[in-house]
Amino acid sequence: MTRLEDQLRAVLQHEEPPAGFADRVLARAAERDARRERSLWFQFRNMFAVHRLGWATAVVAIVVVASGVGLRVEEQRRAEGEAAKRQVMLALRITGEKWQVAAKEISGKTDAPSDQSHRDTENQE
Amino acid sequence: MSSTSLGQVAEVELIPDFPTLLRQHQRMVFSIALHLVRDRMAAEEIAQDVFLKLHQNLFSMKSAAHIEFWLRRVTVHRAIDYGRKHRNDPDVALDELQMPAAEAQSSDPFISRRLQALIASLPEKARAVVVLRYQEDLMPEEIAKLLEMPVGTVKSHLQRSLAMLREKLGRTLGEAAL
Repeated sequence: MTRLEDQLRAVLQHEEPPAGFADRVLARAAERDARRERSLWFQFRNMFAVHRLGWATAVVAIVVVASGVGLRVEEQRRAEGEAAKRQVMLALRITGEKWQVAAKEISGKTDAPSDQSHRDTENQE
Repeated sequence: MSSTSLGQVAEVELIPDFPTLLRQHQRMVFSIALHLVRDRMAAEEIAQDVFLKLHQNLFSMKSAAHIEFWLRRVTVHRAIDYGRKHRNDPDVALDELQMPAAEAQSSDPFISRRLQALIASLPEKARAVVVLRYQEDLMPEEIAKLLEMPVGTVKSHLQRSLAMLREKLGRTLGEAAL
């Protein structure tokens, strides 16, 4: 090792930082921590507010969709009811017509023997 | 417990808390900054920023050696950045700087001041190499790793810097001083 290197070591020694250095660093670190916590709390609140808005939107959307679905179901049910009613009416009308035809036939059959007996009476005379 | 988990437990190193680390390394960090920027206020500012960054990144530190390496590296880089930003600022007269420790240890205050002035006149990277070699007593391989440069470059910086310092100091004081 040369003398110059010894001199360099002597010149480049560790030096004490100014008085209160560590305290100043610790104070700044604490201040940063506090600021970050405040910032985190603020972020959390913001996030929560955004979530609240999201929830409200979701509820409104669900209500709207549910109402729409409900209306559609109701409309479909009414249409089915109308169709069923029409079918019943049709069935009743057909039944009524058939009943009339049957009644006519029955009444026609009842009239026919009386005519025969009348004709028999006429022949006897 | 298996041998693997025992090994893992042995590898875990407890890292001291931030105030302890700060008190442990403040002289080193401040001195590296001071010898690189040659301004006590700027050196304190750099040292404070370095420790605040450590405080922010403490969770990622693996060991005491890692912290020491990290502190040296960040301090050197910050000081070099500071030097580049303030390159055109009027230089602080080295005679105005208070270097009590250096003067107390050196046999001749005049040689100390002259040597400090000559170190200050070295290019940034060369100055960083000299400071890490003679202040921190690091080997060229360690300096190379820290400054992310080839070992050959570190050795070359050292040789050239020593030659320049020897020549200029010799010119001022005479060969007898060296």
